[in-house]
Amino acid sequence: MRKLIVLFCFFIVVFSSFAQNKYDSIGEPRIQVIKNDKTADISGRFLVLENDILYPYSNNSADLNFLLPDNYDYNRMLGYYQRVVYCYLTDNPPIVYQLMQWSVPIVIYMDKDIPKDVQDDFKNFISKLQMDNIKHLDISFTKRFKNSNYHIKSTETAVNGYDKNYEFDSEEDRLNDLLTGSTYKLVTDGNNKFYGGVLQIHLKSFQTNDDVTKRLKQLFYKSLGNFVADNYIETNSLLHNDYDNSAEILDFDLNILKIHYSLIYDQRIYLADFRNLLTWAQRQK
Amino acid sequence: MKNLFTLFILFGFISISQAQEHTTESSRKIYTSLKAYKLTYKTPLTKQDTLNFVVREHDTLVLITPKMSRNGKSVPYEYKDKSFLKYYKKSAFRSSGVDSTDQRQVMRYWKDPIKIFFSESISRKTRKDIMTLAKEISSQVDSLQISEVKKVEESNYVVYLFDDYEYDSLMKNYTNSDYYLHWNTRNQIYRCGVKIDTKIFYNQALISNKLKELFVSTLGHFYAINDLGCESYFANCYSENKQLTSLDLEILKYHYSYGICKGTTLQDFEVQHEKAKSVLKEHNVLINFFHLD
Repeated sequence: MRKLIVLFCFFIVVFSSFAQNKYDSIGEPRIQVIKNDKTADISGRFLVLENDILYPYSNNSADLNFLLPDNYDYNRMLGYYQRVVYCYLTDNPPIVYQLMQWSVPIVIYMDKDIPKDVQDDFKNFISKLQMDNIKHLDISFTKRFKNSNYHIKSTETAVNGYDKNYEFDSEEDRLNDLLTGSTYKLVTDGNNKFYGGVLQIHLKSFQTNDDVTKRLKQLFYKSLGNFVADNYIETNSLLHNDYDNSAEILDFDLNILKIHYSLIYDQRIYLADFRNLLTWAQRQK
Repeated sequence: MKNLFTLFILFGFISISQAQEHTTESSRKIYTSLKAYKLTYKTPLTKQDTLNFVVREHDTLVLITPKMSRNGKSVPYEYKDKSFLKYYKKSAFRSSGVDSTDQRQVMRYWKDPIKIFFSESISRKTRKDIMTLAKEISSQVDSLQISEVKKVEESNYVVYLFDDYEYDSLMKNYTNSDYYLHWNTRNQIYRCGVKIDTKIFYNQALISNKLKELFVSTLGHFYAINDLGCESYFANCYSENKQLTSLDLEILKYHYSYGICKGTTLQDFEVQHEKAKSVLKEHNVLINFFHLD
């Protein structure tokens, strides 16, 4: 009898987890108007208004292939990705990081007093990112301030992105910190999506133009997902604290972006949700 | 008996609004519960009044005579289906509907016309963007009038930037772009300040989009919810193509419809709907809500 109960419980667990095997179950799909759409699934939930019928937009067919480890040379790529996005992978973390994405094309305006060779090198870096055709990540430049949503701003005032009482292990660490002499601030909606930003840089805090370029590349890359920089992989990674300003973009860094922008999530994605997605991706195989 | 009088149901909550049944009969009598009468009417009951008492479903009902009547307007119950109400309640009552504290959340609304003053630093283009949206709403939503004024002392709604004069002292410590609504004990909003940080909303397009989003929220202290497509002003996600969707308009129209009591808690709102729907189902008549001036 006891074995029967255990078996019964096992089946309940298995079947209930299969019932959840849908992208939509991480959050209800959003309601939107689908006018004159005869293919809409009217057997599902819908909302009748005076003049319209609204249906939930279903994303159940979302392709989760990008969450399969076989797609990446590093077999721990998806583990690294989680650290880059969520920082803490343990239960009850001291700070809860959340997955954040740009939901609109990024249109950059660079202040004119940023040296021309820095601007050129930075544009070259962005074009290399764009060459990889990362889905849902669109970056361009504009000469018209009013058309931009990402301002790279040169400031006369020294800026630091940390509290004045923050203690570094050494002065060298402080000088190398990404947020010494530069900061960024992003406009975020209620769904953890970015739609505007300002990256400030104090040119006088840097000895050479290469140092400025290096910092811009790193900080801009970080602002694509509020990524957590650490000593990932080699020093040619933009996420390495001792980044060497490599001319090429490391596959690791590109893969982080590919994973991050394969899907623009309808709802907030917490670490537990992301792990569910990883499980469902395996089942989709 | 049912046809001899109309059943007057009044929910004697904080709200001063009342409900009564709506009928097409030319002669009708209006009753209210004794408890609600004491809360709302000042005229002492006479012996004659007590003779007119009727007992209904454990309630003693008082016949309202012309000498007791107060100025106000009677509006029939506006029926809404539960799927619409689900989204309306989440936004207007800022409720997730999952715990008992939600039941005490209240809805807030503007009773007087909204008169917007823009500080000098708000660009003409931004002012135009906001007023176009405001006029679109104002023209389609009854009981909600919105206009622009040129003098701050004539306004009850001020839009300004972080480096401007501090028009609302309660916002002086704000570090993010946001709004502050002032409301009275009847949950009627009577003043609003909206303040934008131009360090981050650095150009006209970003300012306009943020202001439009905040503006719609201030029309009822609405909460942006995660159920709606991003083009909706009631959605918690950004879109470059925000527009007043049919659902947005329906939410606003309903918020300013007097076919339900205003300024109530979620709990009272639920009870009123339950009663009104039950009377509609059982007697095929609409309860009227009487709104005192």
